[in-house]
Amino acid sequence: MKKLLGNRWLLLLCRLVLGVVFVYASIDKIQHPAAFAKQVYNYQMLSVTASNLFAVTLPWMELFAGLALIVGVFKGESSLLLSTLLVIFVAAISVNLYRGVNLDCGCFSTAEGGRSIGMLTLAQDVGLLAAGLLVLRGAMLGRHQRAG
Amino acid sequence: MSDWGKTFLGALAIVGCAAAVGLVYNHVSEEGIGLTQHPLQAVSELEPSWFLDTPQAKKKWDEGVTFVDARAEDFYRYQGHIRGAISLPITEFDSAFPLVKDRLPPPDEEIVCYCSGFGCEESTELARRLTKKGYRLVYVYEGGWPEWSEAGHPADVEDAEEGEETG
Repeated sequence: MKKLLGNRWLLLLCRLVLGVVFVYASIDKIQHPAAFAKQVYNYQMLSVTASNLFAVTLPWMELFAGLALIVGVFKGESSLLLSTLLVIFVAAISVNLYRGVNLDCGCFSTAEGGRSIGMLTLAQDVGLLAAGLLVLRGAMLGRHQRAG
Repeated sequence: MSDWGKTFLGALAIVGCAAAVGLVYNHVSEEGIGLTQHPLQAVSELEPSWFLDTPQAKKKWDEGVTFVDARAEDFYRYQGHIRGAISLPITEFDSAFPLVKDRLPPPDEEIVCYCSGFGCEESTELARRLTKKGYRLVYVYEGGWPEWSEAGHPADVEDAEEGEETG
């Protein structure tokens, strides 16, 4: 199992998938901050100002970290950041699924009537989180080995 | 410093850079938003309009302000509605508005729109349409029916079998 998790091709695949997904996810949000702020606010977890701040800054975090993963620099830092964001996304979706609120996911598109949150979006984020943690583990092990 | 410490600081640095770029971009971009502007207002372009929470909505109700329910009529009848609220489903606005117009207050008096709570769009859209019709003091009660009923405030529901209103 350890050998499989440390397989460099698997790590490369996870890193590229994660990078491409987050770069893609950031573009529409950067272009339409007002619509994204509304989606964030509808999650009912942040105040008005916090929702706006989150909407204005989060897509750039996704873009920077995603690009870094694609290029292959700051792999540990970027995967740590994206994994943390994914934990927040999973928590926000779970809370609203528990509340029974039907919301636009706001995952990739800010268009109204887009994909709603559901078990599928939750599973998607959990899958990405697993990929993120794998990349993080690989980056930290690599760093440790180089230091050693 | 440990590898984890360095990685954590590096991740924070990315957050800082991204936040700085995001804020600057928001400032210079034509699409930029006001950080204190209400997110729902930013999209719906309501003007003038205000968003109410449950205590504020209850206060308006106590003052006798007219409430308008933007949900489909079935929800209004069988799920329940705020007592005294007028049903004006946004999906049938054009045909329903002339029928309820006489029951609405004059355009310079207050109206509160609501729907199925946070995440529903009908009340915001209804407020926008009423504003276009000349109503100047349109509010949106964001918590809508779920929060109102949860708070135990006055409500009516029509019995599906008997078709009667009960308090």
